[in-house]
Amino acid sequence: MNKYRSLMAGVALMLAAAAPVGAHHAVNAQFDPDKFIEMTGVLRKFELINPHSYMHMDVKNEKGEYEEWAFESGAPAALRHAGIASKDAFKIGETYKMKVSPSRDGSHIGLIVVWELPDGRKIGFGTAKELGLEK
Amino acid sequence: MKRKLCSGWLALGLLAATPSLVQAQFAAGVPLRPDQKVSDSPMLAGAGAVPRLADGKPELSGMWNGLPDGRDPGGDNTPAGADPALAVFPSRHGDITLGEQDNRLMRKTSDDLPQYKPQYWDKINQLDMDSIKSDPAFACVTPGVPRMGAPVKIVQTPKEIILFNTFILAANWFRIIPTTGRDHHPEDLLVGSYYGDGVGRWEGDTLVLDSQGFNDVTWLGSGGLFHTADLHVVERLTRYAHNRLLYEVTVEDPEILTQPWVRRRVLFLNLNPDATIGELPPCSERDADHIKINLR
Repeated sequence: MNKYRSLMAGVALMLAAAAPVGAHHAVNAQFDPDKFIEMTGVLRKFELINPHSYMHMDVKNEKGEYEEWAFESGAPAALRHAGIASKDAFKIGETYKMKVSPSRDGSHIGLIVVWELPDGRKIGFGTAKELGLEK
Repeated sequence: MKRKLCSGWLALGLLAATPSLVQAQFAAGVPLRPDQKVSDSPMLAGAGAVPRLADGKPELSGMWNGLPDGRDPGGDNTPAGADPALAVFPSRHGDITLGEQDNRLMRKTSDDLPQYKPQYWDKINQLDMDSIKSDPAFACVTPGVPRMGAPVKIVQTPKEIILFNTFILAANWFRIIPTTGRDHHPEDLLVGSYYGDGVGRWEGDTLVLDSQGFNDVTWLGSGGLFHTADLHVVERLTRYAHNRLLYEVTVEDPEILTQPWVRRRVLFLNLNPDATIGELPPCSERDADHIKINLR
């Protein structure tokens, strides 16, 4: 439980850092943090860029066709602190399950809330509500 | 691998931790209120003799992003999971959106903001409301001086000082400023730059850096705090103990500000001999086109 809590803290900072430069944008501004979608995708590209890293995935729609999606995650330095930016954690061509908060504008972009590795381990990027820690 | 990931979770917590740790990580040290003196507490006073160069001037070189006890807050090249006890989420209920709300509230209600003349209040409100589009830092432009804050690392030679700043969401920046006591070259003041033209001189044991010749692109801080090209920034660096450095900034922009904006921070020496500033990937803004609610 504490691990999840710690991770949430990190994400909150990455997205809304109380820093001299100020926050980039509020999660609420771009994504709907009250909604979560279960998605499965094939990792095509992992972009380590500031202020947010992006994971580009091919995701199957209900017609069975693959669509290109981009998922926002934390700043590269924050991911590196977590040891989850290494190339062996994100393999191109690998299939991943995710829980995603969708974009508010309907575009194929989402905020990764839970990232599930092929062996079942989960990396949480979410809110207390979604991770079952809500008080 | 599992162990690595677990320790990583803790490390992400470390990045956020308490507000003071956040400050230590991203704006080194702690702020000093106007009524505070560095002798007010042992934590502020620090300890140890001030090291000096051969010419007798205080040696300012070092990593100045330490925690009060000298520990490394976790630089980009620092192994993860230094101290899980620091991983305390400062937000209500561990909720991102609540944390963001609190951050906004703290930013807007701070009593440490520049005082603008009344005729500019509407402009600031408008810039603030539009800040996702109007804030240059949002679009990966350097925050400039003084918004980039106190230096994280200082390298000093007898004739110049090099100040390094870093910010996790953006990039690393540096300034090279002569400390020979020479004045500005008039032509350098005409350039209009993000960091200004800086020259340094010693006043006793205090290094005084005078920067002028700015552009008007950057802001003084979040929330529409714009400035003009007449911005004048004076930084005073005083190492008053082995492990303490007082960083004072005076911001003048008389056309728009009613009085100089003075800020002081006490910086703590980072005692980790391996502490350094790591490479940060390029900043590439991808979100602005998808923002639906104007919230920072």
